Amino acid sequence: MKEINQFPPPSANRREFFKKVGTGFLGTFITVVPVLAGLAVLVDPLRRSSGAANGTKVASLDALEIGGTPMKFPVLKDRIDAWNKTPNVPVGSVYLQRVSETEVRAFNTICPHLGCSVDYRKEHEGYYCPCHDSKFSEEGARGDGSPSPRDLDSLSVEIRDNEVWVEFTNFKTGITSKTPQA
Amino acid sequence: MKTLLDWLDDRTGIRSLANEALYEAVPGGARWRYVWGSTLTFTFMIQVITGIFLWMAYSPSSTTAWESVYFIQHEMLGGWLVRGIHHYTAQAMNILLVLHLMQVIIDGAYKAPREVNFWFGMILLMIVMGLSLTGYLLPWDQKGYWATQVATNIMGHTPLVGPAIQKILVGAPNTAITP
Repeated sequence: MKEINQFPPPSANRREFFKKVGTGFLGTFITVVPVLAGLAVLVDPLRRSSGAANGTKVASLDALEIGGTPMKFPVLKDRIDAWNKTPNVPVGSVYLQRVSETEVRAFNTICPHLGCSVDYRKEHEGYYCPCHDSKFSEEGARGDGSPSPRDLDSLSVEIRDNEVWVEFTNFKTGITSKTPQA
Repeated sequence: MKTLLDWLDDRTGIRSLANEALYEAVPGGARWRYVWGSTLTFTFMIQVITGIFLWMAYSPSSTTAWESVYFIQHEMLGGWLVRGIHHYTAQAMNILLVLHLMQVIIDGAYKAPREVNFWFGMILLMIVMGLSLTGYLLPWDQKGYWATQVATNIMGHTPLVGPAIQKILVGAPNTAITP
């Protein structure tokens, strides 16, 4: 039989040990689980992607005058925004210019610099971004002294049965290459 | 009245707390240039109070935010005043922040043994700037919308982690939340 007067008593010591381990475990558990769960929710947008671009009907060809000034059209699509699906709403806009009978030029209105929206200005004979004064020609070429790292983002156009269909895509801003947004 | 205060003091120790807050001895004597921290506390409290009242009438969504701010500003009793105080105090806070930081640097108040104080100050600085950035968007007006578009795109340019940070902050893959 073990000596009872031993100090600290071995059984108490063991109890103390389990208490510490238990408290430590429980404390860690109730702290780490909600924090990790919260972080998982926080980074959820990283799992989402905008989906592949597909052709969208933007305008009727008759709306565009041959050799006329560019006109802005909204791009209507179904928008899936978290738990909401909103059919047929503007998800962006394009400038269309009919260069010839069969050729239409299309640009995404988002400035490649930092994502503002460009306007067509007749007096500049080109596009202008009001945020940081980027200028682009009617062909989309970047003007002198523009902070934009690349030309306006052109979009491919298809003319089907007198309708203008545009492959609507948003591109990453602020870089020299025209890379679609993930 | 005194009996009531005595009772309250007995239960809470409020007198010594108030005394400490109001008559704290400043080493080397009080100086006017030490007030900036207190002005920031004061402006922060104003923001909390006016913010809670605005929050009660604000409706955060791309289709209702602007409308609810318009309603607060032009239709609600005293709405213009509460929103005005919140709006201008937010701007004052940024100026006070700079003054406070300058005072801390000029007086060397970041040096030992106050480094941890300084780190906390840096964290608070970032929180206030984050609040300024997000608060700017709340009216969902042209200025706020495009400024946020620009700010989040700048974030996206951070090497390596930029695009992820931008995506988490915007909460969607696509920055084009159509105005």
